[in-house]
Amino acid sequence: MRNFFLKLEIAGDLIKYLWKQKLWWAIPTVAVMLFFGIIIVVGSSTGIGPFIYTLF
Amino acid sequence: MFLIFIKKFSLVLFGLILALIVLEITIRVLLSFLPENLLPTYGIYQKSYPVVGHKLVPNLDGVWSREGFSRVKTNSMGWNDYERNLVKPLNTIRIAIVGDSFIEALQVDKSKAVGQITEFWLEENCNNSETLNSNFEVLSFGVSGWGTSQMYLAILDEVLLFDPDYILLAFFPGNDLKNNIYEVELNPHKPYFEINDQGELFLSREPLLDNSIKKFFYRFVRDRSILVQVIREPIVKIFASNKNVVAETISKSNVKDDYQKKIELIEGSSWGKNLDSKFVQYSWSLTEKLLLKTSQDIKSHNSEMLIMIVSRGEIVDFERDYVFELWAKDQKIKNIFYTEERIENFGLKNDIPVISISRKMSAFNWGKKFGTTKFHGFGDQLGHGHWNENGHNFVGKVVGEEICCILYEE
Repeated sequence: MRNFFLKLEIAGDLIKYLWKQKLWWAIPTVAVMLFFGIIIVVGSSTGIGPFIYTLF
Repeated sequence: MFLIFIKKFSLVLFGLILALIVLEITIRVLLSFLPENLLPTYGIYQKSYPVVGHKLVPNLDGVWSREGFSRVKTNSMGWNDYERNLVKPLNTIRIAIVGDSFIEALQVDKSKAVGQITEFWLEENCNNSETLNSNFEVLSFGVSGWGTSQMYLAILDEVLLFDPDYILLAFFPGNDLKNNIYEVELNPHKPYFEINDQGELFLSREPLLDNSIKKFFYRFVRDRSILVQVIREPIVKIFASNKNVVAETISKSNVKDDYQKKIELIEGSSWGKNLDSKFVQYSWSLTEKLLLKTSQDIKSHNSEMLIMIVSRGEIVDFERDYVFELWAKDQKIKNIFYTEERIENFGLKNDIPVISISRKMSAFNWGKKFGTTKFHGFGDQLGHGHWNENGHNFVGKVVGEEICCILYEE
């Protein structure tokens, strides 16, 4: 968990740097990667009952 | 000022689109190179249907890795089965297996699922006499989450169109009782039956179609983007959308306390607990009436119904002493074969053949001197969950033997 927040801090610093450098196009690129990364990491570690298959 | 804002906005939009395109391409490349054990589940969805409530989407091509592994291709009618012709070939005995996720069998390759194993067994072992010189076709009609009411409606609406000689209805004691009752299922996208004052079955709720504009837009994007398909799995895991539907319905209908009580009652009912509860008695009565009505309607179409009681790993995959002395005592279960006994008696009374898989599997495992064969589960979950290849193989042979016996008796 500590590691995870450390990595989030790095990502935050990166976005701050891009903001300062006015690299507007690169900010959403990093944000999107970060978003999908978090979804995949959190989603993989959450258990789901073996007979509950929600496929909609 | 306005021009600067437009320029910044365009750059941000460009960056967003670029990121999505890069991710989409990366995932497509990765999916064609990754080894099977690293592939995520994608490309498999259910859809809302007017009669049965929900079913798999036709002509899907995806990967299942939530439990077990298979490359899934649904047929043009939305079943996880090979392409089938409505017209039965000449000199062929057709068997339809109808059930829930155990019959849908996403966890194993189609060629190793119960339907194919049964067909192969019958062709090999039941086709060698002058009195019975027929080919066999075993069709699978399974959808995860289905209860007996959905199976009944699917049989009337679709299965009988294939003109099967036998219909094997798979009853899973683990959740089929619950799946039949709206008060505990609380899923408005499914059909439900109830018993009226005259003791007759009637369709009390037709399924709500899930065709909102929001869903239409989501499906449009999902069907075209691997990225959306891949992240959909973790999103489902995080938010467990089915549970959300239930939670939403509970908050709307203000039945929280009653719901919790009924859930506890019904969860024990398949083990013979809470039998003095009117709700449990009603649940069993509804399920048995549904089974009887299904059998009668099948008979009126010149076909015959068999019931298969699906096994539970907690019982059949472990040593006898452990099951009786530790597990059953810990769970306060007096009769681990309560459902089997009840449905077998129901079958005897109504002249419906019943195949109890738990009895066959436990007899096999408890007759061994050392260890047990695990028929359920995968990886570190062996003994729990759906049938693995061992399970499908065992069940396919058992079903083949039973059907062959019936054919020779006739």
